Amino acid sequence: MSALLEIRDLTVDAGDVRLVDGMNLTLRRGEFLALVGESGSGKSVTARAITRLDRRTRLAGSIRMDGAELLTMPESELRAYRGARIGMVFQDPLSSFNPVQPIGRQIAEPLLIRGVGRAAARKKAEEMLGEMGITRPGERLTAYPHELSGGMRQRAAIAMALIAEPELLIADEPTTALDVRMQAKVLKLIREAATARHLAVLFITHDLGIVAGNADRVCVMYSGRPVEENDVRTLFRAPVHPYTRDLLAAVPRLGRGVGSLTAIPGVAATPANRPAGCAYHPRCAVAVQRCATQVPAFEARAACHLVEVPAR
Amino acid sequence: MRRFLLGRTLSTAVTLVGLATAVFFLMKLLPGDQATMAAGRNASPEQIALFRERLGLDEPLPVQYLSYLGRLLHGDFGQSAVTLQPVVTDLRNLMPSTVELVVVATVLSIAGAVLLALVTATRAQGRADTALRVAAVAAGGIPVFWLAFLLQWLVGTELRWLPVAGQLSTDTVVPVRTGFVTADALLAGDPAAFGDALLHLVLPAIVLALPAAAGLFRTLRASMLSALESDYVAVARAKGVSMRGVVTGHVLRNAAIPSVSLAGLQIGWTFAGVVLVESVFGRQGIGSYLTTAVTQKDTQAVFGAVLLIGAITVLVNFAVDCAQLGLDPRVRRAQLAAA
Amino acid sequence: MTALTSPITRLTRFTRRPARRPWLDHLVLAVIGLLVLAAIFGPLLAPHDPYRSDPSLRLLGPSSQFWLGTDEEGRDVLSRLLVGARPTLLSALVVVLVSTALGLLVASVAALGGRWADEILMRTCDILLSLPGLMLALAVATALGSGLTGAIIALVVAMFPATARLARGTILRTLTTGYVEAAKVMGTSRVTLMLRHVLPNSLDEVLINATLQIGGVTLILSGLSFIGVGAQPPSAEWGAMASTAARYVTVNWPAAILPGLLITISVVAFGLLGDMLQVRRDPTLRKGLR
Repeated sequence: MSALLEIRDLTVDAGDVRLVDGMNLTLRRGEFLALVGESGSGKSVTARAITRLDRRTRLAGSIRMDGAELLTMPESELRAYRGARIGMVFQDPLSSFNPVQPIGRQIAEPLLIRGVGRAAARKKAEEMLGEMGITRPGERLTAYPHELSGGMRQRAAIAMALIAEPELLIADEPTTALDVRMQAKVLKLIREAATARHLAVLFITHDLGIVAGNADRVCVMYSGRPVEENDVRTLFRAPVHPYTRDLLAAVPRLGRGVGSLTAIPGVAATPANRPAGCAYHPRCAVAVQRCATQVPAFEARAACHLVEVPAR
Repeated sequence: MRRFLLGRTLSTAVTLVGLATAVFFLMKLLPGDQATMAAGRNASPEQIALFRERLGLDEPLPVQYLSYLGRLLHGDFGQSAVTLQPVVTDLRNLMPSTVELVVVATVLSIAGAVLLALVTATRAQGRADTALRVAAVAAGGIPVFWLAFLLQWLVGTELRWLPVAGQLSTDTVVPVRTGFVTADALLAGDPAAFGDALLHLVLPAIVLALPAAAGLFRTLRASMLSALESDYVAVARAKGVSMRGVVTGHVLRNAAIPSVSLAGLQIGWTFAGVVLVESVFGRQGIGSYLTTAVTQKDTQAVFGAVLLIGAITVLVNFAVDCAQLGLDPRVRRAQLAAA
Repeated sequence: MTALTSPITRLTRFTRRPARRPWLDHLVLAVIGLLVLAAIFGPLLAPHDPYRSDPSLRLLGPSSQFWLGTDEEGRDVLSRLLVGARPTLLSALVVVLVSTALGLLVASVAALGGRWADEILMRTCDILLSLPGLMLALAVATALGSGLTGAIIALVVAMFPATARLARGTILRTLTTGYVEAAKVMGTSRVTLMLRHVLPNSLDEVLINATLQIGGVTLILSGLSFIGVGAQPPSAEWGAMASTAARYVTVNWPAAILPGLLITISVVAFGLLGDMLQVRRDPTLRKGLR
């Protein structure tokens, strides 16, 4: 499998605050990668940096898609990636739609702005809605966003992200605003659509629980840095970074009592006051002196001073 | 949809009747005998008696009220004590000139506000944006009639760029057909006269348009900014839409919604503002008619003109409500649910 | 929903967070302070008698004796401007105070008086609101006869419906808050409820609205003076001064320009003061210069 997306040493600054501090990530074609972290960990900022959606942040480092550098590409060229090669789904399905335009037009927009005829674009939009499991898709095209339910809107948003057949889907907490039943459905839809299209998915979430059965690989972020990355089985079975372990201990699982749940002490580090050294050290149960002064390098599978690096 | 329109039509009708009722009570408030006023200053006792009978002033109040409403329905607004003509005739003759002015002013104000908001919204907080917002705040505080004098002096008298008075230059004659000078000039196949009429419209229209444009610009700018910061704009950009496409395809229509209702209100205010502008520029119209009527204590004419402008305001707002229905699907549903 | 929306766009903003402008607030307060000082001490400060006309001194330019020159009747423009602050601002203030009080009264009756009272009062307000303020004031002033008093009453009639509408909304909202419900449960009478609990808590919004109205009232008052139903000559009210002096703009431009300029400055200053109060009450409203 070749790398579709390669993020190297990405930093994102907003004003004088460093939101993302040295992010590295590789996404292969057809791979489902979950990017997990608390709010403020920089996971969404990383995702949005890929298409340079945030106009007020300064980006440095490298983001390559199929070898082409996205970070320095002129905006006009980047537009050919947005929507066409990279589809995006966002958290709030209601505000993702223009309230005064029928959803059909909005779903078809990635095609319409690329010169696809109205009739063809409409037909494709209808197909996509059907694929997303929306009944009577032809009639829904003329509906306005407020006339649909939350789950239906999110399915329409996925249809909108996939209509131009992108190679990469960035889903930024697409299930957070939905109720639990709908979360499972939407997740399944994304999973199925990805398999059918050999689509790479960058799935951003704060919920490790929903990652387990769906992702191929997981990358955990804390305070703007990646702390651990591995395939999903290994990560769940044998997490090495203390933060990942603490996170997993906070996820309820079948067969274990609620009593076994432990909350992580302390408060999450914000980008504005990131602790020196390993950002997690004030909350870490096993931190040693070195953790407070020296930023651990990401080696092999985690960024932690206490993890033994296997000799290669 | 039909029920909504029906409801709005009904409440518009109620407002119109209410307006007439308010004017009726105001006329009752007038000091002195209404018949004496209506008959004119130099009327003989017989004439006054005639007017008293014609106006039904001997009848009990409810009867007077009903017959007053009846007269209004037949287009009888009474007689002007100055022109000695029915007020309706005066108003009908003067209407085209005023409508012409208000239309040009409204076009100027909307075009100016939209243009400025477009230019500044995408580069908010820049120097031009700040300067414009300060100017807009100041423009909202300028007394219209004073601005009229000022521009007349600066642009007309000192710089001699534009004519300062009247509807046409004295040597230009346009045969009256519709009463709209510009339209008549075109009908007469006289482009020079058309240009002349337009030039005469520029200054008074600018004076009327300025406060309206200032308010509209501020509303439009604020709603464009909030639309630009909305999620669907981020989504549209993620779909690959260009900035220009985002503004024309998504931002403008959303931003237009609050601005359209303001623009509707402003048409009414512009009609009222005509009172302060037409007489300065020596234009014959409802406004200058009203100014003369007030100074001459020609009450029938005053109330006739006020009623007319009030009715126009109410009807414009009704039209705007209907336009809103077409613009915003959410209103459509909310109104339908309420109706 | 808003809590969920914000992270998505937090960083896509096209604007910087609007700068706080303490200097603007200070400027506004200083201007209003000066206006109030002129309204109180204007007659004492005036170097000449503002009403004494002298045909031999007509329309003089600025000089060491008459700093801003004289008007068409030979009266000192500076003195008239200083003296004029009082009738101009005081009448606007009176209008706003009376119309606010009336609006509050109407709103209270509408909110507590049952469905019919509410329906009739609010319908009447809607009808009055359907007329542009200037037209309504003009009609009422004509009916009452010209003069500043007539204009003031006319403007009260024109301004109170908007206040009543606003206050009714605020009162109805306050009526459903916890402490009012609690007072209701304890058997407080409706009038006491209104006076002790509801009105004081609705007041700040209404007062901000009143501040914002001062500018509009000043403008309409000056317009009425121009048409001839407001302040009558020889009053030094700025609107009347602006409309007469403007005709002589070619001869003595300071005399023509200053009254209008002062009106503009006061309208803008009171508008910005209202904004300031509003932002202080609800900082999320901060949008720079509105």
